[in-house]
Amino acid sequence: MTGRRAIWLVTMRELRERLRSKAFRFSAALTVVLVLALILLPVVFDGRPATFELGLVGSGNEAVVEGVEKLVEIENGDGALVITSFADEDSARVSLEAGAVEAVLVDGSRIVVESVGVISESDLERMLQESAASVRIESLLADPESAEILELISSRPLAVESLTGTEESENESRALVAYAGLVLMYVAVLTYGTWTLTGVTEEKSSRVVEVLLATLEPRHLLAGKVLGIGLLGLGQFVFTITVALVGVQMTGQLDLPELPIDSMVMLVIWFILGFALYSLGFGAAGALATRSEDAQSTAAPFTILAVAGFFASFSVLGDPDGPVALITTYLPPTAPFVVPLRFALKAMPWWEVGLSIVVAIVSLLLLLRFGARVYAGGLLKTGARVRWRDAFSDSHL
Amino acid sequence: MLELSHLRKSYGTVQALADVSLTAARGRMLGFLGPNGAGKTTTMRAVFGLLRLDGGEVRWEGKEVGKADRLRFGYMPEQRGLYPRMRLEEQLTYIGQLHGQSRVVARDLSMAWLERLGLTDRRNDDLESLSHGNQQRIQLAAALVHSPELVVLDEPFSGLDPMGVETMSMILRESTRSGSAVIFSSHQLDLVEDLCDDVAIVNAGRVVLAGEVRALKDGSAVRVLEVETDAGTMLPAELARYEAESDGSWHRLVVSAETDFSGLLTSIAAAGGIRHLSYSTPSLSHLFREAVK
Repeated sequence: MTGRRAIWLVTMRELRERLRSKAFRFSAALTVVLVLALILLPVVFDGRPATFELGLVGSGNEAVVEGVEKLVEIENGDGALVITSFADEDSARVSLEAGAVEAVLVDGSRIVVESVGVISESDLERMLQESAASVRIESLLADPESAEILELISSRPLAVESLTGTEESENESRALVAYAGLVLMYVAVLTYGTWTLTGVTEEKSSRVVEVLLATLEPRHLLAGKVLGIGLLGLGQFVFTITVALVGVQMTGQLDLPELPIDSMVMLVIWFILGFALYSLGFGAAGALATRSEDAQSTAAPFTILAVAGFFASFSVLGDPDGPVALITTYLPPTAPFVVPLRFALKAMPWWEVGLSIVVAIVSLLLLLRFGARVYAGGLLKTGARVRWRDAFSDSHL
Repeated sequence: MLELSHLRKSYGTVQALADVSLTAARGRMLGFLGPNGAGKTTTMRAVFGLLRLDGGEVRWEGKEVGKADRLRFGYMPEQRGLYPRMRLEEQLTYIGQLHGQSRVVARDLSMAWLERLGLTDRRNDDLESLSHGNQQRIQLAAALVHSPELVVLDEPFSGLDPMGVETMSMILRESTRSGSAVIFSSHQLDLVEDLCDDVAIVNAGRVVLAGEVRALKDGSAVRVLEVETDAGTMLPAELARYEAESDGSWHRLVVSAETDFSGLLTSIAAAGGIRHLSYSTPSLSHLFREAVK
């Protein structure tokens, strides 16, 4: 039997059996439902007009409130500003704490809020600030045109261009695509890697692997398994993403940015490389465990590497040309998480992209040999957990 | 013919195979015996290239065994050895394909086996939903689905009820009749004695006794004499020294094959009150106990 036919047989079995399994069907259906929910729920909630509850205390609030009303009208056509006046600051604070109002304007000079937002100020707070700024500017001018000033303050009058010559929105969408891809890859590596892991352990504990290895080379069995689960995973991802895109189109929920083709291609290449690298590792780890409980711990080194790679990509996002970015580009476990991001951010010349792909492919081939050897050595050792070194040195390959 | 010559294998300081040599001929059934840990499973795995031998050679029809030869072998490992959650027909078809059959042919062979085992209506059930005996039948079918020239089975009879033993025996006999070499390991010595043409007994990684069952028995240095007498009848004193086992009226005597049989008969007849008398070559169990002592 040729190697190709052997791999094909194993691949087809994986596809057939997993497609048939209830667990797979359930999780695939659940994923689609969750994705659709994420797309559709905001539509349902966005249907409701925004309401801002503002409390007032003291005097001199009129000009600021007038500005806020205008801003609400400009920004949220059907939004509403609900104003409650309080006799004194204490009662306003009580109401604020109870959540009846979102912010309290005191004497046109101070705002009291329940807590200062960590990430950014609330919309109401911002509108109050902008309105107050416009009131101040008005008072400085001889011929105030309050509406214009207000609009000016709330707008961003300068166009932004970056050195690379692209517009901000395109760069943003490149980074967005790359980052979304990384999150998907991370999830895929861990989800489908676990399938490979437990699949291998099951074959070992049911001893079916002895029958398989009597006719198959271990590397063909390992490669076929990774390929089968990989194809299934890729299929599920493409299906889920298609459903998501169709959902987005139909609801008109998001203005999808123009998807940059080169970033997408890079993402797919690294998705495949990263997936294959980790799956081979998980496959070898699975051969060392006798029971599925042990499998999690024999696979721990790869799980940790995946998490490390994922976190390395955060650092790269902040500094795509820095030393961390450079090193992690050429380390096989981190490269799949780092290269697509750096590429999307245009922080990589083509030769670096090429070199990193070559490094990844070479390490993939080495890992296939090493993994198959550990796999073959570990699969027939039952009883306790097998150590990496023992499996490697005692392998019959 | 399968020939194993001087197989050696150690795991660290543990010597699994010290020196295993044996042959299994086509059209014959070989019982592979030995205490637990004697090296039976390791030897069988060596036939399928599942471990790296430290020394020795495995030959089939005179040539060193390679992957292509193993496609014409069938193997049933100890315990399970199939996917618990895979449908019967699909499972047998897959095994057939792994042994080089096309999908269509493999499916036909699988269906034929399922019909033969009376499991056609369960072809789309998972293996684990079957009773223990039926699971074992399917495992046998998996080892035989591609009509292998050599069949190796590790403990195929363990845990089978008498009906299961009967089915398994019948199928193995047929396999032998059709010209395959069949090897199986077992602890059920009476069964092996009934079923096998040849035996090989391993102990501590060495073959300690091998050959044709009948020849081994005939060639034994002892004979077994079983006598049952009326209650109260004593065996003559000159026989009592051969006694191996007794419950008062039933006696098992182990005598040298050289002993004059008619002289023995005369002494026993003189005692009188004989209800049952048998004189035979030793059983396989006897040979086994002697060999691994």
